[in-house]
This record gives sequence, structure tokens and C-alpha cells, in this order.
Amino acid sequence: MMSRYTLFGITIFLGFIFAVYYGWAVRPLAAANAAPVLLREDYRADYVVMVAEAFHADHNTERAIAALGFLGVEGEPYNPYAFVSDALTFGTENDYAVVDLELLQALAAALLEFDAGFAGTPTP
Amino acid sequence: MIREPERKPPFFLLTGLVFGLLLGFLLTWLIWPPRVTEVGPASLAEPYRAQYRLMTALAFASTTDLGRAQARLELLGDSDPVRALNSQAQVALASNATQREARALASLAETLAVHLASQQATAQAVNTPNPGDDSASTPIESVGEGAAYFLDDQQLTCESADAPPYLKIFIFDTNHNPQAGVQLTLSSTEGEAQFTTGQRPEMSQGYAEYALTPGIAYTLYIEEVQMMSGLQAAACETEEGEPAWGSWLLLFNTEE
Repeated sequence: MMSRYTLFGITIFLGFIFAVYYGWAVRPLAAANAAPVLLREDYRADYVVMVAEAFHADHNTERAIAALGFLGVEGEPYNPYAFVSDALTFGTENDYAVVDLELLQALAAALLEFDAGFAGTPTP
Repeated sequence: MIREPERKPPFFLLTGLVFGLLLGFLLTWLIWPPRVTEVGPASLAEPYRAQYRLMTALAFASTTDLGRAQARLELLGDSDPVRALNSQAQVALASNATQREARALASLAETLAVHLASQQATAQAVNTPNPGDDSASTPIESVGEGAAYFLDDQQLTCESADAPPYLKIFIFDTNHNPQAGVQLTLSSTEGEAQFTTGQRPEMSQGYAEYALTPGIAYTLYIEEVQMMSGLQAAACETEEGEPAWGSWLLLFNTEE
């Protein structure tokens, strides 16, 4: 028969395993209060589509650039064109509606017109 | 007299388990939290959620596509999206620099509120029996090839104002005896339901029933052969004059 110490060790081990599984797989704390840089690719692409839709109404490039900053790392420089370009690639690969792709293309063109340097800046 | 040693309950096991749990949670939530790389909008911190909500409203102001805006708002997981939009609009309204944002948020909140109210009213209308409404007409007999049964009689019975709308089916064999174990299928836009006669022998061996959902049209199959289409819950009036859901009573006989 197992000694009390062995049983004590086994229950500690079981509790530990359960807590690790729960804390990492079932309810990881880091999933809450996340930053947009952690958004899944499709959500990032849809956010860029939203910016493109809003841009279609006001044609305000500066406002679009500011809105795209949402997808970058807070406090760090970002390349808005890279976000639009990524969304365009994702949209093309995932059969986005033609109208959405056209909006993204229009936004990309406006960003390059605003600052041609965006095209040469590497994706952060 | 020899006294047996007192047996203590194994509290040390519970202590060990709690100790293990504490160690585990300390590791996963404080020391070494998991690195999450892909989250949805619902997991964003509140200021980012507000920006996502605002962008949804600005995009809606441009496209007026409410379905798309609603789908995006659902991703945020707000318990009351209209209230969340209105609260954010109030905050934006306080600053001169964000009047445009406030208008977009308020406009989406208003459109969404009207849409949700109309959806609720429609659902209520569909679920309330209205004897004057003829939209749920008599089901149509549309027999497919190879049918072994034929419809002998159909009636709409109105029993009680509290009873849900039922489809009640009786099936008889060639000797006019109730027939158990006949496979019935009801298909609709909501899916398919299969059942057999004889599940309620106290009624009859050849009896089967199914509670219909108001507003949904069903097609009835017997032994996989289509028999009737356009079966819907129909409203009626009880003997006391109360509006109620009627039950369709269908009698099928076996082809000779």
C-alpha cells in the first residue's frame, strides 16, 4: 500500500496538471485585454476593409492612416500601406467580394499617392 | 478493552490537491502565462474594442450595410450592442473633435435598435395565433412516386388555447388496423425530424405526433416517399372563442 507521502505527492501532481491545463488551454488569461496586434488575420483584414469603406465616404487619407494605426504596436511606427497590402492579399486568397477588393485597392492607391515611401518601407 | 485507533479522514489528499492547483495557477497565470497570438475582437482591451466599434459605425455610415455592421458588432460580444453604441456616442459627443464619430455611432445605434425591435415584433406575431390570418393555409397533398399510402382524411382540430400546434398522424394497414413502426419524416428549412408510429400506444399503435413550430412550412414523408407539403401551424378559435393553435389530424390508409 502507498504511503501517505506518496499519495500526498500524487494529489499535488494531479492538482498541478489540472491547473496548468485549465490556465493554458481552457482559460488563458492573456486572451483577455489583448492588443489589436494579436488579432487573427481575418479580423485584421476585415478591420482594414472597414477603414477602406469609411475612406470611400470621406476620401480623407490622413484619417485612414490614423485608423490603420490600430493594427500596429502601440507607440511604435507603422506602415499603413503594409496593412492594406496584407489585407488585399488575404482578401484575394479568400475570395472577398470584388467590391471589397476594389475598396482596398483604392485605399492602397491613395496611401501611395499620399506618401510613395510607404511602398518601400518593410512590413513591421 | 482494546480501543481501535481513531481513523482520521484523508484531509491531506485535499490539501495536496489544493496545493497542486495553487502551484499550477501561479505558473500559468502569473509566472509563465501562455503566449496568445490569435484573438478575436471580443478579447481586445476596452479602448481597442471602442475603436473597433467606432470603425464599424464609420463603415456603416458609408455602406449602410446593416447586416455586415451587425455581424461585426457581434464579434465584440457586447451583451447589448445598442447600449454600447449609445454610451460611446455620448462620450464622443462631449468633445468637439469627435462629433462625426458621435453621429456615426448614434446613427448605427438607432438603425440597429429599430431593426432589432422589428425582428422582435415579427417573432412575436409569428408565435401568436391569429385566427384571421390565412397565410398558414391547408397543406397540399403532393404524393411522390411509389407511395404505399394515401391520405384518407385531414382535419384541423381546435382543442385548447394553451396547447401547441401539433401534427397528429394515424396510419392504417390494408385491413384497416393501426400500423406501428411506420417511418415518418418532416423536413423544413430548420432541418429534418424522423419519428415512427406506435410511440404512444395509449393513443393507437398507428399514431404519431409532432409539435410544429409556427411560421415554418414542413413537408411530410412516409417511408421516405413524399406525401404532403406546405404543412404549417394554423390558427383557429376554440369553442369558447379564444384564439388557439390548431392541430392537423391526418389519416392515411395503405394502398390496396
